[in-house]
This record gives sequence, structure tokens and C-alpha cells, in this order.
Amino acid sequence: MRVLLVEDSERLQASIATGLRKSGYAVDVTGDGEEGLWYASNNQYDVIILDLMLPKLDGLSLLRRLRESDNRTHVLILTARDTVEDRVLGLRTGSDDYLVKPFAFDELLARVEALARRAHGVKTPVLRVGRIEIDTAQRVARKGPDALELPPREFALLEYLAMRRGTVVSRTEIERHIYDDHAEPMSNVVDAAVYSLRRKIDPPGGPSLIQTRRGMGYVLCAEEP
Amino acid sequence: MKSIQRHLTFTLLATVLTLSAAAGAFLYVFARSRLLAEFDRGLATEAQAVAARVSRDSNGALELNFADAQSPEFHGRHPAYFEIWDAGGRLIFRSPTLGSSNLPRPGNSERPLKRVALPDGEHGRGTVFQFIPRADEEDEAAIRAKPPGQVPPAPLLTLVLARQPHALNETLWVLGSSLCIAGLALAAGTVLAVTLAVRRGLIPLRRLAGEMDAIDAASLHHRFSKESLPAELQPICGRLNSLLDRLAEAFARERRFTSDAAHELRTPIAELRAMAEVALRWPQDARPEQNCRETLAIANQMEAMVTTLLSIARCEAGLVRARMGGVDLAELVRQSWELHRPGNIGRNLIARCEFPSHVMVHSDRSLLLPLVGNLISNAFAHTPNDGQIDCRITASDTHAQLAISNTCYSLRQEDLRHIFEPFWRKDASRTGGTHCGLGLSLVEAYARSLGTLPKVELTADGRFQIAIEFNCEPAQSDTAPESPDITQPTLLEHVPSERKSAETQGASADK
Repeated sequence: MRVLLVEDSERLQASIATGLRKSGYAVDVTGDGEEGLWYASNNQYDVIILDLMLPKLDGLSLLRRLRESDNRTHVLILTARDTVEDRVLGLRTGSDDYLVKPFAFDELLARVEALARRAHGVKTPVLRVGRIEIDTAQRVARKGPDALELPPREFALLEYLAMRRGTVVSRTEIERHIYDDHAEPMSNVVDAAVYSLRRKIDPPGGPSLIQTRRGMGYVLCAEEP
Repeated sequence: MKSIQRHLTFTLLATVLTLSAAAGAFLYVFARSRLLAEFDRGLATEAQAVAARVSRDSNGALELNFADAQSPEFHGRHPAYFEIWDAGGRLIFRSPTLGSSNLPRPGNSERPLKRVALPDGEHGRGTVFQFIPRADEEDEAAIRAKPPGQVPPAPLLTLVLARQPHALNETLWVLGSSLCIAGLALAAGTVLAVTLAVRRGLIPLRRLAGEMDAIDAASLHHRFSKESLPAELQPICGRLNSLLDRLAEAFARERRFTSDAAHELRTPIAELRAMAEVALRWPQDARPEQNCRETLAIANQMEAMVTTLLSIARCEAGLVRARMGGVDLAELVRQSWELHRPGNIGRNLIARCEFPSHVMVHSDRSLLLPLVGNLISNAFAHTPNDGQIDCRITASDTHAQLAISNTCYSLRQEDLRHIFEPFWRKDASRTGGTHCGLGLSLVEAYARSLGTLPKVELTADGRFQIAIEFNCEPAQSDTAPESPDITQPTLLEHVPSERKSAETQGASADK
């Protein structure tokens, strides 16, 4: 899952970005509204975390321009403005959620997860694919009763494929959703991650849950082929 | 509770009733006097008629032609009464209607009698008429035929005629009753008309009150329309609109303060909380030293903000008492300048500070030092890198002025009215935590405590200037310096080398 954080406080940027990355999200960070609009318009994000009081272009104007350009990325407003009028204005301008500073990091994470699930039409935080169970809230994957040892990026890959199970996902899409701007994925990094993931989730000696569609990408099969 | 409607109704009702009662009374009295005069004239005429019926013969005997006296006024329920007396007080004739009763004895003059007790127990009006009875033609001839000595002298008779003014009383009763009924009808009509008129007249006032009732903090943008109001209410409407302007401005200022304060307080707390939660959740990635430095910086920032807010609050509450005395303003400016300038040496800005060597002003050093420090710090903080700061003290024998101006591209004239509001910053995003918009608020608060006021303006070349005037300390013989020493001005100047060469080239080109 890829998240854009538009926040002008450098300390908050650092803390939130660190926490989100440790939770398996690819995070792009910017401190001003104009750059935030550029990022949001030129990348595919699952969730945008948006401060309202931003230099160059304020958060509400940014959001308004995004919606005018038919960008449907889910937006969570994270701001110090706490009045009912501010919340109503933010939600009516097109945000999907509103969180007032100061906030509990767990709550921010839960809201980001909920928005990410909603982006893929998933209601429950627990995804099941065959014997594999992925708890997006706990950030844990299990194969039967056994917990899988997955680094954050492999978990993010599994989560993304699980959310789009049954549909072919291209390498480019995986790169866009799993890697942020600071990462420089090599051409075979997705293949390597898929290979590593297969080794951990596939039944021994059986067919792989992640099928390769040559020239198109990968598909996570809900049932063993 | 006082009510305009009730007050107007009662006042108008009382006025109308008093005036109508007075008019009715006047009309009644006037009509009564006219009717009584008419009645009295009728009595006099009747008396003359009765007197005409008395005759004397040639022997001096008197005769009343009583057959003529059987006229209708001596009959019926309210007959007339009369008595005729001679000059000696002897009753000569009396009307049969008197029965055994008598009329009062008349005096010697003709006059109307206003209240006469009548035989039927009622009171009537009467008249006294004196006359000399005439002789008929035959007796007149006999009298003329007699020698003068044998003719008895004609007697002077006094006739008293009285009658109850029954018809007059009835007329007066009808008139009085009619006037009373008309008065009551007028009163009722007045109450109704006044109530309706006042109620109708007060409709705009009630509408205005209704509109005012509907105004709350969320609808302070509402303004009353003068066009639909009567002329008397238009000045009130204007005052109300002015009041709403001031209220809206105060509410906007309060909202700005609340919103800005929320941002300035919530953001560092959010920073602290997020940093701590992330560090606790992923301790293996935490950087304790870095986190401690950040925490300390946030704590310092919040401490400075709270301290400044408390200082402003103490000044505004009048809890700060300035201990006025002689303070060398030039020395304070030099100290503050030297404190802030080194941190800005690396920047590409020109900074000039010019002041007399000593300027003793009447002030409080403990307030003046942070005031000057904030002004200079503010100027350095908000001047862009290609800008210029000028700090100057000008002084006369009685006054000294500290003026600090700096390049400021973003400020507009309309921003100046907010410049001293706590937390106000031109940058609405409030990015950066080193300045939170309290510096100039503190300057104003301290200046007020020192009995002066800072003046701000945007100069013609777009520079922001703030100037504060002070009274100079009166000269004392045993302390030096006594007055501003302007003969040896001090100039502290910092011009970056690249801009120095540009200035030199500019000067050469000018030459």
C-alpha cells in the first residue's frame, strides 16, 4: 500500500513516515501543498494523509483540485483545526476521513488501513486466500495455524495481491503501490519479492498460489489451481 | 416592565379623555347658561304679561284681570306662581296655584331669583319685576277729569314670578347624558384606535427585535435593512449594524486566536506524541539521542510560547507595574543588536543600526529590554535574505524614537490592523516552529505598560516599519549623560561583501 503524507511539520513527517513504513506502507512525504498536489496527481496512492495549513497551497485547495481532476484517492485530513465547522468543511470538500492533532498513532494507522481497504472494496481487516490468512490490522500473515515471517515489503506485496485476488496485477502496479519515491526498485525486484513470497506461502510440492501471467503480471488465486 | 404600547395608549387616552371632558363640560356649562338666560328672559316676559293684567281705576283701586290669568302656564304639573306686592310690603295679588304657600318676599330691585322654594316642594327660578299698574281707557279719562289733588297716586308694585324649569332641566339632562355617552364612546374609540395605531406603528420595532433575537454567533454577518424601516428607527438600525460590525470583527479575531492557538499548541503535542509512540512501538529503530534533542526543542518552543502568553495576559490584566526611571535606550539597542546580529551574519542581508551614544529615556529596563529584543529579533527573522534592516534612534531634548524597518514583500496594508493580534502570522500555514506570532503582541503589551504605543506602517518602498516613542529622562546634575548625545552617533553596520560591491557600483553609476 502506498501512502502520500502532506505535512509541513518536519518532526511529524519523520515520525508518521517512519511508523507507516514500519507498518509496511510505502510512503512519499512532502511539506508543501503545491508539491503535494504534484505527487498526488502523478502517482497512484491508496491513501493521502493531508494537513490543512500548508505553505504555497493550503490543504483544502489541494483537495478541491484533486477532486476536480476526478482523482478518487482516499484522503484523510490530519489537522489541528478541531471545530465542527472545520470537520464539516473538510468532509464536504471531498475528504474521506478527518483526524485532529494530537492523535494516537494506532488510530491514524487504523484509519489509514480502513481507507486502504475501502480503496479496494474490502470490508474486513482479515483476508483469506486458501489457507493463507492476512490480518491487515495486526500486520500478521498466517498459513494455517503458523505465523509467516514476512518482512514489511513482502507483507505489503501479499496484502496488495490479496486485496486484488483473482485479478492480474502488473509489475508496474506492484511497484507503484509497494515502493515509494525514495526506493529505487531494480527491474527484477518485484520478481524477487514474488519468488521469496511464494517460498513462504505455497504448499510444499503443490502449485503456487501466485500465478505468473506472462507479459501481464501476477494473480493471486483464491483457490488452489 | 415598561411598555411603549401601554405608555402611549394610556397617555393618549388620558389626553383625549381630559380634553373631551373639558370640552363637554364647557359645552354643558355654556348651553346651560344660555338656556337659563333664555328661561329667565321667558320669566321676565311672563312677569310683564302678568303685570299688564293689573290695572287701576280712577279711585286708585287695583284689579287683576284674572280671567286672562287662566293661561296654560298657570295650569298643569309644573305651573307658574306669582305674588304682587305694593311698596308698603302688602301682598296685593297672588296666583291661585300658590295655594296656602308663599313666595319669598322680594327686595326693592328687579333681579332674577336663582333658587326659589316652590309650593310643590321643588325648587324653581323666579324673577322680580316692578311696575306701575296702568288704567284702562275709561278710568284714564275719569282720572284726567278729576282735579289733580283728588287723583290718588299710581302705586309702585313688585311682582314675583317663579316657575320650576322642568323643560330646561330635562333639556340639560339630555344634553349632559348625551355628552357623557359621547365621552364614553370617544374613550372607547380612542382606546381602540390608539391600540391599533400603536400596535401597527410598532410593527417595524417588533420586526427589528425579532431579527435581533435571531442573531447568534453563527449569523453575525446579518445586517439590518434600513429601507424597510421608518425614519425614526433608521438611526438605531445604523447603530445596530455598526455594533454587529464590531461584534463580527471581535468574533473573527477570537476565532483566529482560538484556531491559531490550537494549531500552535496541538502541533507540538502531536509531534511529541507521534515521536514517542513510534519510538516505543519500534524501539529497535528508535534514535534516543535524536528524539531527546527533538523533545527538548519542542519543550523550549512550548515554554517560550506559554511564557510569552502569560506575559501578555499579565500586561493586559494590569498586573505588570512599570518601575519607571532613567534607562539608556541606546545601550539597550546596542546589546540587543549585538545579541541577534551574529546569528545572521551568514545571510545576504544588509543590517544597519544607528543611534546616539546615549539616549536616556524614562522607562523600565526590565520591560524595555525584551521589547527591544523582540523588535530586533522579529526584524531579523522576517527579513528575506536579499533584504535590509534599519534600526535607528532619533532624539530631541524631550522625546526619543526607536524605529526599526525591514524589507517585507508579503505584508499588505490591510494586514497592519492584525499585526499585534496574538498568534497572527502572515503565513496562514504557520509553517516553522521558531516564531508563533506572539512577538509583536508582547511588544505592544509591554509598550502599553510603559505608557506608549508602537506605530506600524508600510513605507512607500514596501518596507515594514515599527516605531515607538519615549519620553526622555529629565536631566539631573549628578548623573551623566543628561541629554541625548547626538554629536557622536554610532553606526553598527553589516553589509555582505557581494552587496557591498553592488552598492559601490551603484554609487559610481549614480555619480
